Amino acid sequence: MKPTTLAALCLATSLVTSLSGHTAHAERFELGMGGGGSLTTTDSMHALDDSGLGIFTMHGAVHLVSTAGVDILIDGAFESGTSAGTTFQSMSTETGVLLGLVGARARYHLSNHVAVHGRAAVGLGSVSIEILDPASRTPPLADRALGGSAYVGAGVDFLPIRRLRPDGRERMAFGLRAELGYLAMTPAELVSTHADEGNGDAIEIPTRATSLGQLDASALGLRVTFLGRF
Amino acid sequence: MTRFMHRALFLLATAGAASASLGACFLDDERPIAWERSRVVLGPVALKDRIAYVDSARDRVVSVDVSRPDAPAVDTFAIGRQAIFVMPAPDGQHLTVITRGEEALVEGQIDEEPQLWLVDTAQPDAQPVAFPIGSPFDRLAISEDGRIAVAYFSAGGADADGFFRNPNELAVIHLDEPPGAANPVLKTVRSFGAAPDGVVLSPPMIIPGAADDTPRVLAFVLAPNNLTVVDATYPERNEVSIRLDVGGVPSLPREIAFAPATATAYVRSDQARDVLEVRIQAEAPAAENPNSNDYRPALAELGAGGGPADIAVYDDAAGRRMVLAATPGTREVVVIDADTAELATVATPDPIDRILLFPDDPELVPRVAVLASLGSQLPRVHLLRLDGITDELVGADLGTVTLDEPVLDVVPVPGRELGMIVHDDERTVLGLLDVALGAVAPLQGVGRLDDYDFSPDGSFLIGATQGVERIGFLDLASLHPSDVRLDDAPAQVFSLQSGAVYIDHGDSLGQATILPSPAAPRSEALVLTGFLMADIFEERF
Repeated sequence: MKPTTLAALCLATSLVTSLSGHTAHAERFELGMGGGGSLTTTDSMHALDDSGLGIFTMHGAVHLVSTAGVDILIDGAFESGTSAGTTFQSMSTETGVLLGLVGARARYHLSNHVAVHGRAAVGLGSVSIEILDPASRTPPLADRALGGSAYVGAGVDFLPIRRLRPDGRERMAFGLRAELGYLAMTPAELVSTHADEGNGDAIEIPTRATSLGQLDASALGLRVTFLGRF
Repeated sequence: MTRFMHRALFLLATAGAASASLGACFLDDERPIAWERSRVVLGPVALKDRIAYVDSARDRVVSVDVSRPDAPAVDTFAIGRQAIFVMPAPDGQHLTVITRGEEALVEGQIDEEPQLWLVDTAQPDAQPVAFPIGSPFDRLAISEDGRIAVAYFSAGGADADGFFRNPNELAVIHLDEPPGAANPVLKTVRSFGAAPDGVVLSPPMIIPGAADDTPRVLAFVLAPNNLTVVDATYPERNEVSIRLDVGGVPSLPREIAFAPATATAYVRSDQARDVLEVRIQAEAPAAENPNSNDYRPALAELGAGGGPADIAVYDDAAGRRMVLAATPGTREVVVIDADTAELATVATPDPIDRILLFPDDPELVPRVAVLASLGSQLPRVHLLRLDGITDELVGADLGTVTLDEPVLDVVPVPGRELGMIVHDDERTVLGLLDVALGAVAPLQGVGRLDDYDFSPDGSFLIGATQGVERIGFLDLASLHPSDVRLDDAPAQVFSLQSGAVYIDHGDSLGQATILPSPAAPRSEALVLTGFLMADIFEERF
């Protein structure tokens, strides 16, 4: 285990244990928006860039039931990821991922301000690519494919801003969520079509595209979102 | 700021550091350095029914098979690092590629020596054969039977890498034998202060009178004031050097024509006073030297005189090897019977510096030679009938075709008695010369003829202009012009043996338009895209 890993785990543990006590949490739903990035890249993604995807995420959850101190929520999220890169020093690439995920979240409050959670979701996703050689006069190669996706993750919520009802129950809270999770996507079969030049009515010669192979956009990602709990 | 806010900020900062540290644990997933290579695409190179490209970054040959124009197939072949030269073999099926190799400097790179790759594009499942050539040669000569190749350095092919460089080094490769300790053979030819300008391989020739009747391929290494003969069939044997400046006059060998029946080569050199005949004669090898040759070159001047500017060789109807030499200084064309060395001279009104034989087909006997004075840019060409040219009773039949514009170039139409005449540097003013009739039909294009090709049977001229999204066709039988509109501007055009017309659009990602024939309409065309990026996501370096 790397020293930085060990230090990070210790730090996280002290963070959690430094807080204690909680009041009743009976919020109905939560909303969040933020971003992050992928920390790993598959071999096929290396063909496009080396920096991983930048992620934008919006999510919402509705409280379903509480049992043994654990809140179960129905969770839905929309995510988009983009990246731009260079391959072989001359080819510009752009990658885009769009996701719609539905799943469940299990949350345990460590204190009034801190909670930890685990989340699992499935959904649909689309992967798009664009490959351009700036020296070429022809349009860039572009394609998009749909596929399935699955997500598992865990994280911590920190909500320092709380407003209570007269009866002491929480009315709303605001803060941050940090979540580390792995997104698995079905490999997308992409072909070498050309980007639409906007010549909608022009009669073009039939085109035969070449298979570019399967692009696997699965990745471990870190997301930090602004969270509102109501 | 309240105590709570202090605590909140501390917790936020701690959470941020924890997240970043946790994330940093996974950031050792580095992209292989191979994805940062520079990329050069060599080609397109025309084969019989295929067009080939070489991708120097992905280390592969990409072959587009258009033998079925409605269903082109893309095949790939893995080769070595850093392809620097590609050349089709004479059979139109094999492709030769020279790779420079790589010196591993950082993690992810692999040491690899320079190699010559022989790729059989007709066999998609066949593995290319690699011949280690030892040095990063950047030129190749292949014998007409495709069995022997000689790799050498070009005059300007300076390699920035490495420590020493020997410009006189050659590699002789027997392509029909497996690579091994004795194949290829590296040689350094004797130099007299100059590096070679080129290498020409003879057709297989049996040396008359030699004990070994194996047909030999001789490599003629051209260098300023020097001609070196290497027996490429037995490359371990010593080379023979021929000094061309013995008389004190520098000489630059430029062109060689062969008469294999008599094992003779005819050498035309700039600034030489005559065509040099090099006749290979048998000579018993020296017993004490295992690498001595069993031949020696016998030299003679043909007596053409006047400093020949061009030579042409053909076999007449009787099977005699004839050599034509143009001597602009004396305004003559010399006709030489290579078997008997008898010669006849034909006086020309102009200083002829180009000879073209028609029809331009190795299977057909040439009947007419077109004589042009390209250096003088005169508005005329001359037609010399070759039938009975050495018959003193018949005499030379020389006619003149007068044109409206100066002649800058003449290009023969394959297999036909037609030639395309170029009248300007931009190739916008052209003419079609009917050699049989001695008539010229003018042609006009929209713009500069940047690339063109003739159909293999000589029935069509196919032309392309950069920036113009059309391809032009000229039926050479009726001179009827037609064109097909394209979706993108063409870069190069090829007419293949299958009849298909292949238009490359100069896209490094791969884009081509394929027509099944020169007469096919646009509705029968097909565009193939992205074939140079085939399976890019499956690439693993």
